[in-house]
Amino acid sequence: MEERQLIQQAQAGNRAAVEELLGRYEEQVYRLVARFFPSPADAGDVAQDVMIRIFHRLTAFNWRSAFSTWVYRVTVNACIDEGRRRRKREQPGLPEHIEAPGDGPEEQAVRGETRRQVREAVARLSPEHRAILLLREVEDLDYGEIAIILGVAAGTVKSRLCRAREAFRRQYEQVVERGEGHAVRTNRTSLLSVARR
Amino acid sequence: MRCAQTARLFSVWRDGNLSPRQNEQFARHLEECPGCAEKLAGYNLGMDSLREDRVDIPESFRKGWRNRLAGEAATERTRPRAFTLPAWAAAAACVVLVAAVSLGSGLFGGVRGSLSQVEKAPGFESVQEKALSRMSPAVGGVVNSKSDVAASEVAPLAAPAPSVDMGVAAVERKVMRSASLSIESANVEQSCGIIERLTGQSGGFVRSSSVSRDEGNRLTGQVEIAVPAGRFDEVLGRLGQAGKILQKSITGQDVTEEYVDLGARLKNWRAQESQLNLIMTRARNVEETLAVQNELARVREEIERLTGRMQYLDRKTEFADISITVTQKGSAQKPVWPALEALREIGGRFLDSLLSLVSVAVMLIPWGAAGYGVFLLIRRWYRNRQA
Repeated sequence: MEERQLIQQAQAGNRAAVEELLGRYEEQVYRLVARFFPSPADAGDVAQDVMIRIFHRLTAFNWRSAFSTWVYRVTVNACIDEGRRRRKREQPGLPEHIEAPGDGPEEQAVRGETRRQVREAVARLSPEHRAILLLREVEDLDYGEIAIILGVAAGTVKSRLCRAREAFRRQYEQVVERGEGHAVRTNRTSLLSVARR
Repeated sequence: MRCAQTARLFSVWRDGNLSPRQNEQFARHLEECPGCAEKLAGYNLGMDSLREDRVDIPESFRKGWRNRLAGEAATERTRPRAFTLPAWAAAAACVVLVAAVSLGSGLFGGVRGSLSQVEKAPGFESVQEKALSRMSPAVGGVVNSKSDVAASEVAPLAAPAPSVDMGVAAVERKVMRSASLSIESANVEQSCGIIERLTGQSGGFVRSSSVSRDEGNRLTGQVEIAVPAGRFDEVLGRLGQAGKILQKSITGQDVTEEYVDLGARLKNWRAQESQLNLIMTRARNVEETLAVQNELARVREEIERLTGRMQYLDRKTEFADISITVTQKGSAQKPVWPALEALREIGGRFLDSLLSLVSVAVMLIPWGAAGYGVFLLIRRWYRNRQA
């Protein structure tokens, strides 16, 4: 079924259409939320909330933008709100140990460590910087689309993105410098475990 | 190009938005400055690592939102939703509606009649009609005729409104109403007193009341009152007793949909809370207990937020705010001819500048006298020398 028809049916309250439509966007939503909230448990909870929020607001979608853009907008707003709420209450959950698929154990350990560092650096950014950085670098959206999602001017996107990237670079450098010892330890542990086998 | 400038351009360069000239300068600087080149390499490494970070979608998420959706959809079914009817069913519904409205008008006629007897103040009818015409768009077509509105507005006077069962049962229409009036009176203090007395009689209360005197020794009163929503129109009509109404505006905001939505969400969160309480009894260790407690705290925070909002809407729809400004009769200033006023101002300014000049001249007189004296002395000395 074409997406337009699917959206119309979902807006009319067709349950199967709602599920199919949301199913098409579950990856997009989870991908973004998971990078916003590095802890898998948090990401799962927030992503589920976003899916339900999209369902509740389906009738508010007014065709002024692409449906995917609107989904991004709902997701980003939910993530920023939740990020601010968590900042007030506590520090964002740090990523747990990440297993990287493929390659040998050593490569897996190195990749897993890089991922952890990247996610930790992202988690240290403000929710607004996280949003713009992820939309540009990971989702590969252009300035115009990001401006619609964040509800700001294209010029603001450019300057805010510049600041977000710089903030991310600083955080990433700090995390890498602090974690170099940890990375070496991780490599040694994985090598030892392989050797014991 | 300097290092700081180069660093500022990293982001634009990464998006490929540098002009050819900037690009050339940027590349030249990187060739000459190993520090910046290294910094850019680090910059790109971070961004590339972020870009390459893949996310696997867990099965628990795929199942989780579908389960929650099923629960939400079940709750949604109980909400009022727009739907289409076959033509014959729509016609039948219209006939039933007309009959019900006629019956309702008959039933409420007595109450309406008694109210009209009280409301014989001049201008009451026009107030009522304007209020009705403004209300109609706000209620979004649900109330189609003035008699419908009249019935729904008079009903609270006859009997207390039924409480809302969290969006599941039929919900009374929730409308936030407010008005602002400007009244002219010969005796401002007396008018403010009348307004306060009317407020008390209607079962409302005065939020604030103040009387002040302006530069022209004229009194102005400002009274903010809240009256029961069911007696809003009645009070508005009777406010004419306080003086001549110069200006009046009435607004209404229908919040029924939001209220029903909040009720449904609250019900859902409460169901989650009871589930979590059940899970809590099965927690085996401290870690599990803490995890459930955290979740419970989040759910309860949401419940409190929703309850607070619902209570706020309850308060705002139970009482309607009216803001009244009372001005003294004849307080409007006499019209002034603009050209004459302009000439008067020019004359005033000219006099001011003349006075300034005179004061400068007075200040210069001693200096002039002293200078003339010095000049005379020098001239005498010069002539003596010549001689």
